[in-house]
Formats: sequence, C-alpha cells, structure tokens
Amino acid sequence: MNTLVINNASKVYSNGTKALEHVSLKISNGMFGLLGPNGAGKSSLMRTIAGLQTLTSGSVIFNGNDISKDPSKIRQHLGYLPQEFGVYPRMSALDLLNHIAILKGVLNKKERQEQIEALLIKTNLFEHRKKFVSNYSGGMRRRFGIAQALLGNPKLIMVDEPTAGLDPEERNRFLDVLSEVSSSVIVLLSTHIVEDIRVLCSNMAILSNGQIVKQGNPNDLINGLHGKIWKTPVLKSELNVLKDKYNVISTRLLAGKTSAYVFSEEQLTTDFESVPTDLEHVYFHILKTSKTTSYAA
Amino acid sequence: MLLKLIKFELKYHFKQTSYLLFTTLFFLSGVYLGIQEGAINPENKYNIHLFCSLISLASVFQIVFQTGYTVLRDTMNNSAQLIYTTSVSKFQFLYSRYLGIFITSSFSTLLYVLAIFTTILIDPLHIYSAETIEIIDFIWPWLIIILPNVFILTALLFTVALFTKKVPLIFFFGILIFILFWVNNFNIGSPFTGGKLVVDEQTIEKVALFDVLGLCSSYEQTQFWSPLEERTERVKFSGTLAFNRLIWGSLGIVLLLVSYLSFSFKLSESKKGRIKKHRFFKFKSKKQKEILSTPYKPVFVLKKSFKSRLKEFFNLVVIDFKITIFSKTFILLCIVWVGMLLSAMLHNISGQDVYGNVLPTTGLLTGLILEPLAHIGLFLIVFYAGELVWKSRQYNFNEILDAAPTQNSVLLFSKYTALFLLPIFIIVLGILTALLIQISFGYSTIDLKLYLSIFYFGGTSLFIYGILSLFIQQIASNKYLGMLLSLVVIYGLGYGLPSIGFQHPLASIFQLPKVGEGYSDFIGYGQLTNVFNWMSFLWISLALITLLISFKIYKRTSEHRFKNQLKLIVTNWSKLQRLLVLVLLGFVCISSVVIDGKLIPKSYTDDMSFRENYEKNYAKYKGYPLPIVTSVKTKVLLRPKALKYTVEGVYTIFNNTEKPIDTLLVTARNKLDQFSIEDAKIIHKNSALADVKLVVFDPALLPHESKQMSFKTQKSIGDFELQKDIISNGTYLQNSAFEPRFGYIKDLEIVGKGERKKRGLSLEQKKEDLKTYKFENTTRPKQDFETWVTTDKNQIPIAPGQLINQWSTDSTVTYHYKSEVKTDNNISYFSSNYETTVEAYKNVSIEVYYLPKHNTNVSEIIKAAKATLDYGVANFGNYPFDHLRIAEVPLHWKFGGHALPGTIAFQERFFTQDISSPTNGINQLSRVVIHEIGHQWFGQKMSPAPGRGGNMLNETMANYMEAQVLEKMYGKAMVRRLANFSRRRYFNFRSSAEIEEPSLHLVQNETYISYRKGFVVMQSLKELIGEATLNESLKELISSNQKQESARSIDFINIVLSIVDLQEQSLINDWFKKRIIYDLNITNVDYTKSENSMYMLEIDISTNRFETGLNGDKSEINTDETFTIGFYNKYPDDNTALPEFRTIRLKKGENKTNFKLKDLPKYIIIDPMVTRLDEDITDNIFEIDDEQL
Repeated sequence: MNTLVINNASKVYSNGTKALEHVSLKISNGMFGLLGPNGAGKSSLMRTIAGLQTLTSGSVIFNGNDISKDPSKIRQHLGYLPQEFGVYPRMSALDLLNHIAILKGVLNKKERQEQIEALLIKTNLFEHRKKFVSNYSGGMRRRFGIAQALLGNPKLIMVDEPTAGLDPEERNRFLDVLSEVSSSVIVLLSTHIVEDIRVLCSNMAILSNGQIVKQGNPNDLINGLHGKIWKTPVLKSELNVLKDKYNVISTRLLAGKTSAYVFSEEQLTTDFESVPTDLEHVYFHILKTSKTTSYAA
Repeated sequence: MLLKLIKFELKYHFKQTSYLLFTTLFFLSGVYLGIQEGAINPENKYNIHLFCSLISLASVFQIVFQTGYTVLRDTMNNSAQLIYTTSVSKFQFLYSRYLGIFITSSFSTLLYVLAIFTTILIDPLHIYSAETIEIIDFIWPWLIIILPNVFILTALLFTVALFTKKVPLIFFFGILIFILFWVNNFNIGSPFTGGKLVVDEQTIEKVALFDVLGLCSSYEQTQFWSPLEERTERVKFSGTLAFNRLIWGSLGIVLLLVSYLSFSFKLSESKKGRIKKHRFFKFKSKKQKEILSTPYKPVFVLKKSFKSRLKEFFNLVVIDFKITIFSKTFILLCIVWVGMLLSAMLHNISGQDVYGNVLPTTGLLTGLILEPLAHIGLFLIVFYAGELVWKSRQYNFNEILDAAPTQNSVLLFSKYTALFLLPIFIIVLGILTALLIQISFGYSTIDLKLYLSIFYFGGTSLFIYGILSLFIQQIASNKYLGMLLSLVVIYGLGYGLPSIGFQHPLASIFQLPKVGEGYSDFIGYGQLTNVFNWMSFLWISLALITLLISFKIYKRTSEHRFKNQLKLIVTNWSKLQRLLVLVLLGFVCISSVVIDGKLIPKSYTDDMSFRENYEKNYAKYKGYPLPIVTSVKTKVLLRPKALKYTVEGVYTIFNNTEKPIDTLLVTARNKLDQFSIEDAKIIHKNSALADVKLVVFDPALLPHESKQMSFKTQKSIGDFELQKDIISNGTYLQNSAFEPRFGYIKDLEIVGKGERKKRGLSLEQKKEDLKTYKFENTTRPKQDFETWVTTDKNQIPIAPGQLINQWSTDSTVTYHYKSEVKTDNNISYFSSNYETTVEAYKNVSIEVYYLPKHNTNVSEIIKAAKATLDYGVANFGNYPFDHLRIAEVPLHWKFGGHALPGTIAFQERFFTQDISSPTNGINQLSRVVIHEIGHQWFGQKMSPAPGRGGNMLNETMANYMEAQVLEKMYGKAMVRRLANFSRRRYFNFRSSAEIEEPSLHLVQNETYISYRKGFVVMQSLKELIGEATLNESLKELISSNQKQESARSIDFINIVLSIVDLQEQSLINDWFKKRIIYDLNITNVDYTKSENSMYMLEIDISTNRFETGLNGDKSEINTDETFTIGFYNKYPDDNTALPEFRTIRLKKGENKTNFKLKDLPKYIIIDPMVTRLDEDITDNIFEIDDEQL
C-alpha cells in the first residue's frame, strides 16, 4: 500500500501570492480527485508533490520519505502528466517514450520495448508512433502524456486537468486507462470537471484559494446534502433578489430558462422543488460556504 | 494610429533589458574610445570616420536581438491570435514594428557617436585644441554610414524574421553579416580589419560595392589619401560609396515591400503527417497481431545504479546533441564555417601578388583553424548554451523532464557534455577540411599530432566559456538576456581590467594566450606552451568552481529567483563540495602564484616609468660625441636546451669625431656582469631594468684615438619568457640583444602626448627641417669581426665570417669564425639542428642551412643565389666573401630575410613556399633571396654613411637587384607585377604614414619610400638612362665607398646627373629629390587598316604630373618626358604575352599619338612596366573589343 501524506503544506510565491495554505491530505492507493476552480492551487500542489517547487512550510511524505527534503524519493515512483506540456521538435512518439523510459530507469531494452508498445496500443497511438509528437493533435498529445506518465513502475500517478479539451470518446478512453491502473497505485487526478471525479474517484478533496475546504468520499458528501437542494425557476432580473434572500449555490440554464439551486434544510416555498443531489451540488455548496467563511473571517 | 503604435514600440524597446544593455555598452564604448589616448585622433577626420563607422558592426547584434524580440514576440508569447484578430492594418502593424527597431537602434548608435564627441571635447588630458573639433565630423559618418546601415540591417533581419519565424536563423544571419564583413575587409586589406594586403583596384571596387555595411566603400575612397587629406577631408558621399548606399538602401526598401506583400495575419501551419523513420525499435520482425495483444504492465525499475545513470546520461547527451546538429541553424553554421576555412586556406596557399603560393603545411592550416575558431567557437558556445539550458522550457517539456527520477548532476552534466561536443564537432570539421586541402594539393607531410593539438589550444578556451555561459544561463531570467550577458561577462572579464590599465596576465580573467600564428616547425609553440598550460590550469580550476556552483544552484523548479540562487551559493555546502572547492581554490592560488612568480618583468622599452626617468635623467647627454666600434671579438656560449647564453666581448672603440670624448652614456638591454673601458671609470649606474651606465674617460678619448672595451653578460630565459633570442632549436641571437649601446637613445622617449603630459614631459618636439637638410661628409670606419660560438652538440653554430676552425666536446660544439673583410656592425649568431647543402659556384661556397623537413626549396634558393651572384659580379664588381650562407630562422622573426656579412637569415616560411609554378605571380622565394644577396653589394660592400638617405642605397638598390635578376630568371611580366605591387604599396602606406613624407634621397626608416617608391623610381631611371649606364653608376659608387661607411644618396644622384643631359637631370632630380606622382590615361584608340595590311593607330593619351608637399598637398606641374607604350596580344600580366614596346614623348594635358603596327594589339598600355607612381593605373590600359579584332 502506498501512502502520500501532505502535512500542513503552505506555499507563498515571492510576489506574495498564497498558492497553498495549510493543506493536509492523506492519500492511499486508488483514485483521488482534487477538485477546484481555476487558480485554486491544484497545479501548485501537484508541482510541489513532484518536487518541482519547494514548500514555504509543511511537508510531503511519500511512503515514509520526506520529499521536500529529497524530491528524488518520489520521482523514482512518479508518473506525472502536467496540465500543459510540449515536446521536442522532430522526435517521434517512439523516440520520445524511449528517452523518457530510460530516464525513468527502464534499462532492459526488451521490457522497455514491450511496455512502450503496450502503452501505445492502450492510448491508441500505435498507428501514429512514428510521427513527430510535435505534430499531434491536442487529444493525441494528451494520450501521449498519459503514456509517458505510465512508463516504468509508477506508484504515484498525478494527472493535472487531463481531460480538458478532449472529446467524449477520448475522455472515456482516458478515464478507462486511469481507472485500470489505479487499483495498485495512487492516482491523483486534478480537475475542475466534477463529472470526472464522480465517475472515477473513491476519495476527493475540494481546493479553493489554496485551502482544502472539504475532503471525503464523493458518495458520503452527496449523501450529506441529501434532500437539502432545491430548484426554482427564476427570471434573470429576479436572480439578485433571490440570492439575497436564499442560499443560492448555483444557477443553470436549461432550454433558455434559468433555474436556481438553493441549499436549505427544508422546503422554502412551493416554488422550490426538491432535486436529487449530485456531486456538482456538493462542489458548489462547498465553494459557496468556503467563500462566505473566508469573507466572514 | 501608426504614431501611437510607434510610440508603443519605442516604449517596448526601452523596457527591454537587452536594449538597455546594448545602449549602455555603446555609450560606454564611445566614452572609452574618447578618453583612450591613441585610439581616436580628433585632428584627423578620416580617423574619426573610421572609429565612428565601426559601431555598425556592433549594431548588427543589437538589431538581431531587437528583431527577434519584436517580430516573434507574438508567437513566443502565444498572443498572435489576439493581435492578428484586431483591426490593425498590415501596414500599421509591420511598419510600426520596423520603425520601432530602426529608431531605437539609430538612437543607440547616435549615443555612441555623441559619447565619443563629448569625451574628446572635454579632453581630460587637455592635449587637443577644442577649436579643431567639429561635431559635423562625428555626425557625418553617422549620417552616411551608420544610419543607412541600421536601416538596411533592420530591413534585412526583419525580413528574415518574418519569413523564417525562427530566432536561431535571425542570429545566424547576424553572424553571417559579421563574418562577411571580416572576410570582405580582410581580403581587400582594409584598415577596419587592420590588414595591409595589397589588392588590385578592380577587386576593391567590386567588394566595396557589395559590402553591406559600406565600410569597404569608405576604404575604397580613402585608400590613397595623403596624410593631409586624412586630416582635412571628410569622406564624401559620392562614387562607389554613394552607389553602395543606394544599392543596399534600395534593397532594404524592396525587402520591406516584399515583407509587406507576403505578410498576412495568419498563423503559421505546421507540417503535419510527416512520418519519421523510427530509430530505436524494429517492429518489422513482429506481427501486428502479436503487438496488438501486448498488455500494459508496470516494469520493474532498477534502483539507480552507476550503469543506469550512465545510460541516462548518454541518452540525454545524444538527444541534445542530435537535436542541435540536425537543426537548420547548426547545419548552416557548419556550412559557413567550412566555407570560411576553405576560403582562408585557399587564400593563404594561393597567395596573391607578392605573397606567393605556399605549401599547405599542417602548421599553417592549424593556425588558420585556430584563428577563426576563437570567434566562431565563442558565438557557438554562447548561443547553444542558451539553447540547451532553455530547450526543455522553450518546448514546454520541462515539467515532464524535471519530474523524471534523473539526478540533477546527470541532467546538468549532460548539458555540459552536449555543449562541449559542439566545438569538438566543428574542430573535427575544420581538421577534415584541412586534410581535404592537403590531399587535393598532393601534400603528404601530415602532422596528426599537431591537428590534435587544436582540441587543446583551441578547445580549452571554449570549455571555459561553456562553463561560464551555462552558469549565466542558469541565473538569467531568459535565454537571450543570458546570451547577451554571457558575451558581456566573457569580454568584460577578459578585457575590462587591461583596458583600464591593469597590464598583468591575471587581469585578463578566463583569457588564454592566443597560439594561432605562433607555430614554428623549429619549436612548435615554444615557450608559449608553458604559459598556455599554466594559464589553462588556473582558469580551468576557477571555471570548475563556477561549475560546482552551477551544480549547487541547479533546481528543477519553475521559480527561477536569482535571490534564491544566491542564497544557495552561500548555504548548505556538503563536505565533498567544500573539499572540492578548497582543492580547486588551492589550484587557483598555486597557479596564480606560479604565473605571477614566473612573470617576466616588463622590458625597458615597455615600462613607461623607466622611459620617463630615462628621458628626465639622461636627455642632457643628447648630442654628446660618441665613439664607434672598429673591432669586435666575442665568445658566445649558447645553451639552447637550457635556454641560456653567455657573451664575452672585447671591442675596440674609436673616437671618429673631431672632439674629445670625456663622458659616455652606455645602455645595455641585459644586465652587464662585467663592463670596463680602458682609462675610463663608471660614475653612475642603474640596472633596474636595462643596464644604464655613465662612464667618464680620464684622460678623455681624443679624436681618432682607440680604447678597448670589454664586457660579459649572460641571460637565462624564464619559462614564460616569449623571447626570440635563444630557443631550444632555431636560435637567432642578434648583437643588439646584448651589446652596450652608446649615447642617449632617443627611441626610448615616450611618444604619446597624453602619456607625456601625465608624466610631466614636454610636449614640444623638435621637427627636423627637411627642406634645409644638408649632407655632411661623415664617414665611419668598418669593423673587424671574430667570434667563437659554442652550442649544444647536435646543433650547428653559425655567425658571419670565414670558418677558421671547429671542435667539439661531449656536449658542445664550437665554431671559430673570422671575417676576411671589414664589415658593418650587423652581426647575429645562429644555432639549430640544421641539415646542410653546400655547392661551390665560381669560387663561392653556397651553403644552405635548413630544417631537415624543409628541403623542398633548397634547389630554387641555390638557383636564385647563382643568378644573383652572376648579375652582381658582372655589373657591380666581385662578391666580397668566399662563402654565401643562407640559414633558416623561425617564423617568429617577422622579416623575410636579413642580410649579414656573407650570411643571410632566411625566414622559415620561404622554405615552405610553393614554387611548383615559379613563373606565376611573383616568385617570392627567389625575390627575397636576390634582395638579401643584393645587400652583399648594397649594404656590406658599399655601406652608407650615417645620415639620411642610407636606406635608398641599401634597400632601394637591393630592390633594383630583385627586378633585374627576376627579369633574367622569369621575364618582364613578373617585374611588371612586382612594380605594380610596389606602386600600390607606396600609396597604401603613404596614407597611413604619421610623419611628413621625405623625398627618396632623404629617406630614413620609411619603408614605403625606400622599398616601394624606390623600386618604381629605379625602374624609371633604368628606362631613362638604360640598364648598362645605371649599373655603371652604381659600380662607381660601390668602388669609391668600399673602405668605409661613406656612401651617400646624393653621391649616387650626382654620379647619374653627371652623365645625362639637362632635361634628364631635371627629371632625375624630380624623382629622387621631390615627391612626384603621375596621372596617365589612355582616353581613346582609333585604328585603320592600310592597304599594305598595316594598322594605323591613333591613341589619345592624357598626361598629368603633380608635385606633393611634405604634408601631402598636391599641385599640378608641367610634363614633358618620354614614356613607354606597350602593345600586347594578351593581358600584360600573362607570362605568354608578346608585347611590343615603343617610346613616346608626352606633354602635359591631352596628347594625340600615331603608331603603325603590323598586328592589331588586344591591349594598349601607357607605362606598361609601371615605372611611374600613378594612383590609378586601370585607365592606363585600353582594351580593343574582340569584335574589332
């Protein structure tokens, strides 16, 4: 069993931006979702775990090794797919995967070859293996990204916004691959797409303004709000009045008509109808709550 | 809107660090040049033009940076889509950006020019008069050279940037312009590259027209300017220069138009779908099905072992190296590099005109690789250091790479290795190019060891620069700033301290001695190797400390905070790191102490304080009567292996004046261990640097009285002493190296006005009045000479004189020489591992001493020696010795040959001259042999009296001998080429002369007069009075001046004047006693064919003659003299041409002449043998159209 423990991690950039504030997490094998809006600190946290930036305070322990002191301890077991990445020009997928595999310590040529072949097939890139990666489409490049992350024997796989910009088929294929490998390793999935977390993760944390505002099992979190989410149709002109009056966590447009979703322990008026709670409601509710808390603070 | 956009661009540039850095550097360079005495002479308008224009070259790089930042900033910052979708028009978009670069670059160059002007105006040393300094002299070159250059360069690089969209290619074009500048200017001998090659006018004009920076055009216009013109004239915007500006300016406009037409607001499309042959795997053997069924499973990863790290390292190096060498920029760079080398090698081997062809020896080719390698290599290192460090970030691959479990040391070390492989790669290319040349020229003596030494002598600097550049790139905030900073730091550390006066080898930080031209087959790089080794040890140790810091501060973070890195430098040093730093610091200290300890004190000629004190203390002895030496007996003990020599001398000194000598100032270069003069005592001595003694005679040395002087001196050469006197093989010890000199040495006076003022020395310098110069009847007895020279056993000691005896011990060999006739005081001692060829010829033993591998040209040397002896004996009387020794001396002696009594020192390069086609060009080998043997009559047998004009009798006459013997050996065409070379060289050197131009008969050390003008004038004289009469006159001069050093130039002129008529007398007086130049021109030729098949030619010739004053002011004078006109069937320089010569009397102005010829010539030339000094002889030749023939 692999464990990743983040203790009270804080990161303040030199311009004063607080990217992480007292983040504490304990993650073991399986898929762990890191949910948060843009700029919440998800990428900062991932880069910190990968040893690509140092913490201002706190620590990151992987399988008992403090990686803030020695990042190489985690890199030996890391498969990392950054949010954005490029590749060297004039290099085919084969050449580049071979290069990264060697850097990851896969020295046996036969094993390396077999693993690269398998990954190329798994990511549906086998047909394109001899093409320059720099000429790949966005989706192909993402798949190449996961292939390189899975090279070697990673015990911690971190994927940062992996499904952004992928079409549904690509996205499903991608999530399948992650799900397949997650049984014996930690897969840390960072995203702002709630659906990805819902279908994949057994545990998750919501990050907002550099802080963990909620963590737990998605189903438990959903159950916690069971019967407390109400929907009401609303005109745009009345939305502000509604927001002032009730705890509106989100709004949605459906067939050109706006509906507001409100958190309430009980039905407020007959205009409100109870809706089944999903993870998105949890997410918005927590974000709303965290903002209010932070303003109040 | 355009104005607003331009305003934005200006703001953008002024915020760029690189722009500010360049502008500051330009400004500081201007200030530095302004205050540096000797750099710019504000009283010389040409000099101002030269220095101001040079900024064009630096502006190339500024524009490269600015263009890169400006044109590609949208692509680099991913903002192209935002900008391209606005309503900005193509015109506004493109030209606002162009003008932004143009205006800001122009501003930077203007600052440079104004900085020079202001600093000179302030004149901290107060040595120039402010009234003579006009701002227009500074602004003018900015207007006609710099500003157009900025316009053209910006247009050119802007277009390259738009078309290629690649920063490396913009850099490449910048470097290409830089290289073309050097190649162009070097090949035409332009002062911008310090060259003094003699190139024909047509070549210069062509190069001047197509030189993008227009600097060759400036040279083309000013190449023959007299010193007066240089002081008073501004370079004119006319002729080739104006044409050049128009051509390139028009091209600039065309490029801007092309840019405009071809540009569109579209994103560049990448080439998709290219299939690349995979390199690592072979899938062919596997069936597709098998592959498709392969399941993914994690692979066990080995704990990182040394083997795995090695594999990672090699993989990283291979990837970096491959990506680099297969990039377009690098391939282009390699093509340029090989092209440059080929052109330099072929240019050197197939020398032009007087330089002659040389063999492609490994020594020569190695030097030709090392010279440009230093420059190209530096740019290569600086550029690719940036590329390698920033590559993963540039391609956004850094997070994947940095997250890999590769050690920092492996990542960083692989970058260093990939970087160092690049200079190794281009050195290998250089060696292959050289081998190709050697093989294709059939040269088989290939010295592989010497080629391999390039990696050490050329590669070490680049290794050090590589460490520095990678370190700087690590702390720089962006790649291009890192490149610029690297150049600034490398040049700043190397030349900063020396430029402000710290003259110590340790002050040139990270700089190694240049060894490019220093190779000799006698000793390799000699003592320079010692200096190089220690300096390499020092700077490599220091560079390794930098490398260690690089490793220490290397972080795989995206946060590149300089502050954090500084913190890392001072904290957390591991024990091993501390130990390494201590060891390296130890090396730095040891080598610094060794270098400082081995440092040779400045020679007294270089030590300004010594020279100041010398002048202050001893100038009062100027004008004191001095004795001369009439007998020399020396015992010279040479110990070449130990680099030591001892000389014991017993001289007879003689009072040749009419006054008694009571006080004598004696100066010797080395400390004299013993020194005494009969009946004289030393009353003062100072041996701090040179050995200066003041001697008082008691009783005084009376007129015509002799005394004996004896001295002993010894010299041991230090490990770092780069001297030429005694070396392990190839010693050539001149007597001036150890002999005491009598009297105050005026040459030691400080010349620079600023330096003199600083040291409180008078600025007034007495100018000799040449107009009233009077020849005195001063004669000087010649001297007896006898010597015993001892050297190491395997070497042959040589000195002037007849070999009386020789003997040897177990370790030494001694030769006893004694001169059978009295000689001048021009004595040297040789010692080398010589091979000898001896041939007896008409009672003279011709002996050639040479390095065993330099035997190719011995027969040609003997052939030329025989021809010269024949001509000399037939025309000027017997040869004065029974031997003629020609001994090879190493390349570091810059003379071609040096004549001693009966003995000639002949420089190494002539032994590697290619004389396989002896009639082509000028046979340089024979020319120098003839010249030096000529001195046995003109210099030895007839020695000039003290006073002006001596070099006319020495050098001019030896040059005359060259022409006569070469004509006998190789025909008139070669003499014509030599005369043409002399003509050009005269005008070339005259323009850079710093003192007034004396007439030929009053020449002193002005070689452009004694050698070059003298050559042409003697050909005129020969044409006027005939070879036989001229030789008779010279013979008469020799026979009446054999006993003493008594011949005067005026005596020769008087002999000639006495045998010619009045009209000829006037011409001869003009040529020898004045400065006369001609302007001859065939303006038209008409011809008809008569009934008897004869051709009637009517030729229009314009003839003008000018007399120039001492300062170069020119006035037209009358012409009425006889000229030769040549009718050629082929171009006159063609050896197979069959010319027909006629003489014709021409008067000032336009002349119409008629000739009747059997055959119609192809070329008609006035003054075909170049016997007149005419600035432009291209109009002396008239070509008859092929169709008419």
